[in-house]
Formats: sequence, structure tokens, C-alpha cells
Amino acid sequence: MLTAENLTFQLKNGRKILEEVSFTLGAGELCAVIGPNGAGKSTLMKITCGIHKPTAGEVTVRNKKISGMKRPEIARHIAYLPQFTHAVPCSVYDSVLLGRKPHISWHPAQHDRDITDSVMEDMGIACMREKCVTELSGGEFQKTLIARALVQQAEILMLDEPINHLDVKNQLDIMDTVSEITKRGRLATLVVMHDLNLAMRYADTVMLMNDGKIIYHGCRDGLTDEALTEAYRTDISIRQVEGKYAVIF
Amino acid sequence: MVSRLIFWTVLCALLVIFTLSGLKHGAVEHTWAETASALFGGGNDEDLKYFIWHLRLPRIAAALAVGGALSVSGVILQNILNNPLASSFTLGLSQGAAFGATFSIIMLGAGSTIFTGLGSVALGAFAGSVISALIILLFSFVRGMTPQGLILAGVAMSAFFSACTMLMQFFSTDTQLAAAVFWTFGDLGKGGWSEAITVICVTVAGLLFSLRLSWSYNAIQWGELSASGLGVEVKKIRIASLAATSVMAAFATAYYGVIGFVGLIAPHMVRLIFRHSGHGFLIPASAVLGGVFLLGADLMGQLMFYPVSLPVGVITAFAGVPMFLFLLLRRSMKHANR
Repeated sequence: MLTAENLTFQLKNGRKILEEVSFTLGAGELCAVIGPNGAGKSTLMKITCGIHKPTAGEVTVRNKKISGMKRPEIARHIAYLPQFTHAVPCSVYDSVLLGRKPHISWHPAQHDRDITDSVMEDMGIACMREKCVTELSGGEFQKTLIARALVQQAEILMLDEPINHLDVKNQLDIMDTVSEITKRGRLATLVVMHDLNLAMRYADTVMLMNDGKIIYHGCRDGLTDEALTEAYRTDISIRQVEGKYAVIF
Repeated sequence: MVSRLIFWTVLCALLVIFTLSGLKHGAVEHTWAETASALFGGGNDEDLKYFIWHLRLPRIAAALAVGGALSVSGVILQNILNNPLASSFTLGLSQGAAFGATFSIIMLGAGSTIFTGLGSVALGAFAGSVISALIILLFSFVRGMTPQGLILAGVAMSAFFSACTMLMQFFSTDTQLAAAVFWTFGDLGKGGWSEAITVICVTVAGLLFSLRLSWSYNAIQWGELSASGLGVEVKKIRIASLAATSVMAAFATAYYGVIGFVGLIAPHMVRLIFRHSGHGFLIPASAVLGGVFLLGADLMGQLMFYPVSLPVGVITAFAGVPMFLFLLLRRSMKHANR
């Protein structure tokens, strides 16, 4: 569904943030992007969803180049949730409805409102539709943002560190939701994560990045201790405990 | 929804009250019956008919249009520059206009009185405002220029234009100095129907433009990255909006002089009353509130020291400075509580 070919992103001072990065993402696949700080994970997301233009390379969605698409069209294909989003004083309903922006010309139609109602119901946030976003807890706020991304009805979902600063319960809730909607909606989902245990628990495929390159991209079973140790520059090993992956460091 | 209904009802009531008062009060006082009669073509008082149809009605129309234009400019600038204190004043457009007007009066000799030279003074003010806007626009094209950078560029432009204006005033004659200073006061009695209609047309066009982009503005509130993810061409919208607001502010200032703080007062009043409102409501509500506020301020200026009429710019400044300081304090307290 999504193909990135030889993506390179170079700063004016010559430093390469991404170097010859290529990968594909299929429908119903949840891919966890992991790697140390500064590996190029967030930049890869911004380039893949067309916010930054790559120095070289191309991203295609269903064999169509995104470089030839306008922003609203890209947003109809790819929903992107950035790493840092500040809360704006508006109701939860209005903030979710904003996800229909790529489909709205003047004002939202009844169809847009119906989709918003349905997604809010699915996400379990319908009960707080009139609540102000600034009064939400971290978990509720993140759910609201994910609901907004879902309302976009894009086939590709990109979430940049959606579970940072959340407690364990909320982390699991959010990842359960993301995993479930990826499978149910046959979405291609790319999630940048720092929690390696959660990445191994929820991801179908793992993309390990370091120094602007993909060191490993494939199923969880193929990720080796050596690759993780090399990328993070500290001893890391993966074990199977009671049928679940445990990352030890 | 009920609160919005109350808001619109109160605004409409104030609009009617201020309009009727504006028609009745002026340099020469008349009774309500005489005013109504002259308004609808009756009576024999041709002077009164002239006052109402050619002085007072265009003044009322100008108040609504200028108030609307400055308020819509304020709402948009505060959004695209992500700064609640942004307005045509903050960006130096008003100071650019003042410079242009002063240049016309002092250097080009645009009439020894402000009225005989209104056309050329307005042209100079418009040019000054547009030059200021173009410089800000050029800054916005600079790669990596942040909204905060644009505000600082506006502050620098304001200081530069103010210094140029003072320099010209220093070397001017007493008559020229008086004309230039009078122009900067900001007065709605400067223009007639043609000026009012021009500003009305520009304001309506600006209102439609901003309403068309209201959902994009809602998205931009969430930050540039979030808005881009929602399909908004942030940079293009920022530049187009900056151009549109500059034109609105330039026309309003060119004809009626520097009227400050309306672009801050009206949008923030609406935000204080309707904390959760999106731009689909915020823009038209601020436009109408700004118009009614300016109409009220102008009426106050006419009645406060009757028969002497104060320029409306003085009244808006007295009302605006406390609002400006209140916003600054509120912002500081918010940061302190984090």
C-alpha cells in the first residue's frame, strides 16, 4: 500500500538525516519504528507523509507518487499524528470533527458529523463530547487525537510516539486500540515507539533505525540482540517469557 | 446555542441603538422627530437631510466597515502568527500608513488642510501600509522564519516608520505638522460615501475569504505539523492571509487614519465569552462586535465633550490599552501556573 524508495534527507550543512531508506507497508500491518534518539524516525514520518520534501527518493501510495499530490489529497490517504501536540481550548467533538478537514470545502456536512459520531463511539470517548480538550487527562487527550486521525478515513496511519508520558494502563489501552483498528480497518500503520517491550508486543513488523538508516525491517522474530545492541549502543536482549516477548537491558 | 442567540440579540440591539443615536447626534442637535423625518425624505430642513445622508450615515457605515475590517484582520493575524497580541498595529501596518500620510502631507504638499488633500493623503497612507505589508510578506518567505520572527519584524518596522514620521514632522511647518498629527488621530468623519463603500466592499471580501478558510484556521490553532497532517497548506494560507489582512487594514487606515486596538478588543471579547468557539463563529462575531464597538466609541467621542468631537482613535486607545495589558497579564499568569 505504501512504498518508500531510496529516501534521503540532507541538511544544508551536508548532514544526512536519512540515507537511502526504502520500505513497504501493507494493509493490516502495524509496523513499530524503533531506534535511539536522533535515528531519523520522526523525520522519516514527516517525509513519508509529505510534510518535508526528501532530498532524493520517492514515496508512493497505491502506486501514486505523493510528490504529485496536494496536501489535502495526501491527508485523505495518510493520517499523521505528530510527536508533540498542544491542547487547544475547544470541545472534544469539535477537535475530532476537525479530522474531516481534508474532506471539507466550506463547512462539515451531516455525513462528516455521522462519521465523527461513529468513531467517537468506537473509541469510547462519546461520553465526553462536550468536554473541553484542555481539561482531558493524558490518555483521554491521546485518544481524542487518534480519533481525529481515524475520522480522516485515510488508509495509512502514522503515529509519532503516541504513548509517551502515559501510564502503563493508558499505554496498553492506546496500543490495543491502534492494533485493533489496524486489523479491522485493514490500515497500514506506522508507529514510532521508544518502549521496546510494547513494540515487540503489538507490532507485526519492526523497523529498527540508526543514523538515518534502516538496520532491520521485518517480523519480530528476525530482530536480533546484536542489531538492537548495535543501534542503542548498550546491551539489549530479547527473550520469550510465557509466550510473550521481553526485552531485557 | 442559547448564549450565541443572546450574544447576537444584544449586538443587534446595540447596533440599532448606536445607529439611531449616531443619526441624531452631531455638530448640530435635532429632535428625534426631525431626524426621522429627514431620514425618510420628509421635512424642509435641507441642511439636516444633508447632514444625515452625507455625513452621519456614511460615518456609521464607515464605523461598521472599519471596525469589521480591523477585527477580522486581528482574528486572522492572531491565528496565523500564533500570537494573541498580533494585529495590524503590531505588524507595523498602521505605522506604515501614518508614515505614508505624513509623507504626502509634508513632502508632497497634499493640501494645507486634511480635507482638501484627502485623496492624495489616503493614497500615501495606502502606499505606506502596503510597503510595510510587503516587507512583512517578504520576511515570511524567508526560509525558517517563525511567526514570532514576523511579529518581531513588525515591531522593528513600526519603530522604523515611527522614526521616519517623526523626522519629517521635525522639519515640517506648523500647518503641515498640525495636518499630519491630525491625520494620525484616526477619525471616522474624514470620508464620505465613496470611502465608506470602498471599505465595505474590501471588508465583505475579506470576511468571505476568511470564512472560506475558517476550518484551516481551526487546524492551524493546533500547530503547524498537526495542520499539515490534516491537509492544510500552512505556508500558502499564512501568506495569502497576511496579504488579505494587509489589504483590509490598509484600506481602513488609508481613509480613516490610525485606529488602534479594535483588532485586539473585538476578537478577545468574543474569545472571553465563547472560549470554545471555532473560527466559523469567531470571525463573523468579531467582525460585527468590532463594528458595533467602533460605532459606540465614535458616538462616545462625539458626545463626551460636546460640542467638541474627539477622534475615535483616542477612545479606542483608552479602551484598548487596559485590554492589551490584561491579555499580557493573563498570559504571564498562565505561564507562571504551568
